[in-house]
Amino acid sequence: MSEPMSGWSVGADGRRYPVGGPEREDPSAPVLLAELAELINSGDVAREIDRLVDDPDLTA
Amino acid sequence: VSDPTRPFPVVVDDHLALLAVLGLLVLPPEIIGTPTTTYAWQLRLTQALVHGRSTKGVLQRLTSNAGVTPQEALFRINRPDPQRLDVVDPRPFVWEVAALRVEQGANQLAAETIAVSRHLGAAVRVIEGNGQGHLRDQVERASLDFGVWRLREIDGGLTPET
Repeated sequence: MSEPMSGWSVGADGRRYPVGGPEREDPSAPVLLAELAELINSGDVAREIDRLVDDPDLTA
Repeated sequence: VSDPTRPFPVVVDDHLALLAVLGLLVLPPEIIGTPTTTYAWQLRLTQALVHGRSTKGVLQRLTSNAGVTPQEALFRINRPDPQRLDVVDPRPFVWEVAALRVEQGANQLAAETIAVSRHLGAAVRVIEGNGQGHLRDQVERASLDFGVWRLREIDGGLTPET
């Protein structure tokens, strides 16, 4: 499930899900908490979201 | 404004909502209940993740550091475990949101955040990157408790620095 998404898939319950769900991803992927905190605290993610969304109604 | 001597519920931004659904947000003791976010915050993050599928930006680093793929993050934020995150239905707040947009000049994100926070008697908490600008101005103008959380590592998750 690590390849780029191409749309939607239908789960076992018959509902549409983004590709990648509802099945779980690799549970062994490490969580890098220190790096995660640093990345969020830097504001880089918020700036990236603003850039990608580019909608004045969704600007913080 | 929240009474600092009593626990209070919290309305969170997109980053904190994502951490919550990934089981990585450790709430401080002054917060009660499940963290809540709004449809507009959910839409903002979803839109970024859908865009981000074709990029190699910091969103990929974010999800990678969280141990999931962007697809998994997209799934989790759209089907949140109700024990980890409550996304409030915006329809009961349409009147108040409309009034905030017209009378206070709030955008959709700020108007929904204010309306839901008022309804819940909740404080608003965001990460630093969302802590300045229109949202902060609007929430403070509405006399709600607005705060920025800078995060640190604790017990397998992230929690606000004290």
